[in-house]
Amino acid sequence: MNKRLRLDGIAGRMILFFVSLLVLVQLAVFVSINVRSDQIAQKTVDHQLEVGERVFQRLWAQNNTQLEQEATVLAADFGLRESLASNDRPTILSVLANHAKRVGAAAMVVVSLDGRVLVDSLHPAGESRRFEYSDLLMHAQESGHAAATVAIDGLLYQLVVVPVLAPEPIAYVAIGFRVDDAVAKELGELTGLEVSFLSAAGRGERAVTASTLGSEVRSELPHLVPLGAPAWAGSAVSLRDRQLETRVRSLAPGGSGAIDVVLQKSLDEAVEPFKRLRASFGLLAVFCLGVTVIGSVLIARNISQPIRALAQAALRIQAGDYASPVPVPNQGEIGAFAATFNHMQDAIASREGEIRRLAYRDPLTDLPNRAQFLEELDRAIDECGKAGQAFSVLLMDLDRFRFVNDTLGHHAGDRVIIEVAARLRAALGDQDVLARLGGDEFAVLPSPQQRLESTSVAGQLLRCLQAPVVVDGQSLDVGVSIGIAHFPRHGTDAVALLRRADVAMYVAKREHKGFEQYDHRIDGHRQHHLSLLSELRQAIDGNELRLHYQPKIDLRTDEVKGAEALVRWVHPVRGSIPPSEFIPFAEQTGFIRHVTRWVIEAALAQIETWRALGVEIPVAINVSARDLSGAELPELLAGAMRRHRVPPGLITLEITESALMEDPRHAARILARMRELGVAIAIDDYGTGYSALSYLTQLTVDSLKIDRSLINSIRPGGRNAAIVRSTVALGENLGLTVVAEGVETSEQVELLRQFGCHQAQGFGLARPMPADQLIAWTVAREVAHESAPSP
Amino acid sequence: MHPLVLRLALPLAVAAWACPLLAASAIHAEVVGPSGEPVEDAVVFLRPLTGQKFSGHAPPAPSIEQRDREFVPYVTVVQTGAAVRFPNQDPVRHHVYSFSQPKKFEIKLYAGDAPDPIVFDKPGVVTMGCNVHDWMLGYLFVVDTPWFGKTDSSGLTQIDAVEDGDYEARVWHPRQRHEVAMRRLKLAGAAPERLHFTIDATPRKPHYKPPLDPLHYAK
Repeated sequence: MNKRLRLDGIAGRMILFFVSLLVLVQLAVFVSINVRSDQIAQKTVDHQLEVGERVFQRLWAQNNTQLEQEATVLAADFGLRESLASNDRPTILSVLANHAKRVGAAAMVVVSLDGRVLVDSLHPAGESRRFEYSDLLMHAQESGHAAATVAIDGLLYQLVVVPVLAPEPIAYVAIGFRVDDAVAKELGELTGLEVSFLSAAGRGERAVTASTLGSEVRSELPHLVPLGAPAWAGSAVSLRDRQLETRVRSLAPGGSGAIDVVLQKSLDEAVEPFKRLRASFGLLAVFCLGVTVIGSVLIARNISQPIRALAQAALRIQAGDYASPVPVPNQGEIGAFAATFNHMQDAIASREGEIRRLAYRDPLTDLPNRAQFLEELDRAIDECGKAGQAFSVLLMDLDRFRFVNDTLGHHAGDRVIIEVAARLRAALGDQDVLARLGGDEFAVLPSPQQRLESTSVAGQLLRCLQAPVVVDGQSLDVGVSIGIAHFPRHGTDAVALLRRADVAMYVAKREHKGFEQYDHRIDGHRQHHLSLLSELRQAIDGNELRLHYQPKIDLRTDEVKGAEALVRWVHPVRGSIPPSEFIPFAEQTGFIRHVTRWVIEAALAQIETWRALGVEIPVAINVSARDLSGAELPELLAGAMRRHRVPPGLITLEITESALMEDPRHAARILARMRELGVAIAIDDYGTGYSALSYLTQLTVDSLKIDRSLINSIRPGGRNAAIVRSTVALGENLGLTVVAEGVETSEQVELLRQFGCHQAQGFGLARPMPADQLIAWTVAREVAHESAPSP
Repeated sequence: MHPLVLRLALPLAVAAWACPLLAASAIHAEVVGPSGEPVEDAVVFLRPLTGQKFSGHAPPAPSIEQRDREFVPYVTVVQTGAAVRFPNQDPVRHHVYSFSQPKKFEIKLYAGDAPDPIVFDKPGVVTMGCNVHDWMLGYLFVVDTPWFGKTDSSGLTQIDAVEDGDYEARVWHPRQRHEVAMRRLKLAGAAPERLHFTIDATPRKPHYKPPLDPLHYAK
């Protein structure tokens, strides 16, 4: 068994499905995590920045307030007031330095009430200039203090301005506190953000004046961050390899953009936890995938292996092996399926046995049928062919079985067949094969011991049927004709052997011989017949047929009572061919219908011709069994009679006894229609068959024609003479005209006349002659009669 | 006009009118803001241009008290040479000082009466503060004339016993935005002269004063 899992199998598809599903779900989750994590990171950063903005604002304002308070305290210092009031410059400088040290101020500036710089710790030489931040002075004057972030000489200060009250304002003190990296760092720690301060550096340039950022990126920042406005503005800045969400706002008085604070948060840091989440999710996904693959492989195996076993079993059943059951797994649907499968296998086996029996057995007799017989025959051919042995095949059918079927019914026919089969079976050895090929046809393949004893086997068979078969209280004589063919002499295949046995059987039946062995000569005869078929067709088309007429003489008056139309074939090569050469063949092949049609047409045309000459001669036309089997004969005849304006009294149809017996009911119907046309009916060849006269009289025939075989051997006081005489008497009593055929001698004529036979026909009276000769012959005969009256 | 001022002013006017032999008259001055509202604590004073002599009584030496951690009064006017006392009425000490040009002085932490009165011998504005209480602010206006007055809450003041003659009349206020131009006037013992000044002064802003209880001075 193939252990590999195929992707197009159930297992493969299950695995594919589950794995695809899992991968799909994981992909969806992963994508959604990715999208969401970016969103969350962005939100987190935005939120942190928002909080950071507020914290920064508060811190910055607090810082300013604190610085303002410190400045206020300084401004209220009595020493400063006193020294300012007294314009004691050294003291002023000293007080300022002391206070700068005390509060950590980096710059101290004293400004007069009218805005002139009195003392400047940063620029001792630049004193008495106007103070740059006059609006701070105004603000301080109004509200007691003012603060602003300013850049002085590239450094950033928080500048606080307070008036010096003594107790009225006498000057302003501006105190500058450096905003440097330390301040940025502290703000950065409190806000959790990167904090940078940008200030204008001349010519539109900006520079980082303080920052938590590393020095290596400080020069880039001013180019990336937009100018600040009084309100916070956001942007995204990519600094080196860091993604920084950025907020910027102006710190300069009036929001001029000269000094901006920049708050930044790294997006990467916010994304970092999600990266770890993604990594662990990836691990989990791989683990799940592995578990799923293994799990679905196991489950699929569980399903697919029993199914594959079932498939194998199905293949085995297909090959005809019903013996080995499928192992039934214990669990679930597959187990139930396997059990059902086994039931099915048994059912198929028994049904196939039945089919086989039906296929190879004849249901009526329970004998082997044609199919089985052919197989047996093939096997015998095979075996004996290899062994170089010979054997024979016997083919037989029942004589007149159709008559039994038609007169006694099919049920009786079946009984006859069953009885015959039983007798044949009993007559044969166990090793002999007896088969019913169909209908009333049987075949025997003798056992190897008997194979060369075919004639004795045939004898046994004939003997076993000698006793009559009794059906429904009636005793029936059942005759059989047997044809024998020998392997390999007559054929090396079943078909050829059976065909030749059939030929032999035909000969046996025709010649009433019981059995006949095949002879190449009889088959050669057949070959000759076959070639005749096309020639015969040509004969009708080419008008090679001629009608001769043999007169029928009234034995009492010696008058010509009519003539029998006899067909002659004037073959262009072989010359004149007698009817016995081609009529039986035409009857066998069915071509006789065409011949009959031609004869009717020609005969009626002749009658018409004679009538035109003023002569009315009744004509008898032979009709075969084949002609009776169809229904077209009456129409054909009626049509011809109309065309040739022939009265029905001039036509007699001669039908052989055997033709009537083949299908008596149908024949009766056809004959009845003929009589409706007014045509006379004669039974031809009477005395050769087995027909009961009573049956024939039911057909309301007009005349009997005694067969030539009886007339030929008729002798005064002989056995045939007695038959003829009684037949004539019987015909007389039944009102039938009795005609003797084949009369050859004047003795026969005399005897027949004594018996009271009505008419006679034969070479002894007149040969068949062409139509024109008939007229001449008749005229000559009448002339002779007149000159020498008959006795 | 305040009923109390009317009641006080009328008998004085009658008195002045009833003694024409003294050849002196009273000046009624009114100081208002730009929109006509009375201005309190404005100082109005007359300087003689023709050598008139003051014939009235010398005013008593004024005191500037520290009461409830304020200078009371807020504005004080004295003639040059006046000795001003600074009595401390509060339970806490004060440290009164002034860096003003006419008189720099300092009375270091003291309680009760200051040890000595301070003599102001130069005319001008002396702005006073307290080193302990930053909000304390008081003004002492030193004039070199005996004829001066300070407006009450109705913006009115009266200067008595002014000899006939030519004067320049001036007005000053501690929170004036601009100096008001002086005015000349001639007195000839007639009916009381009326002076009307308009001055633009910022209003006095209230200031926060922490309570005395030190536990409660959160701002």
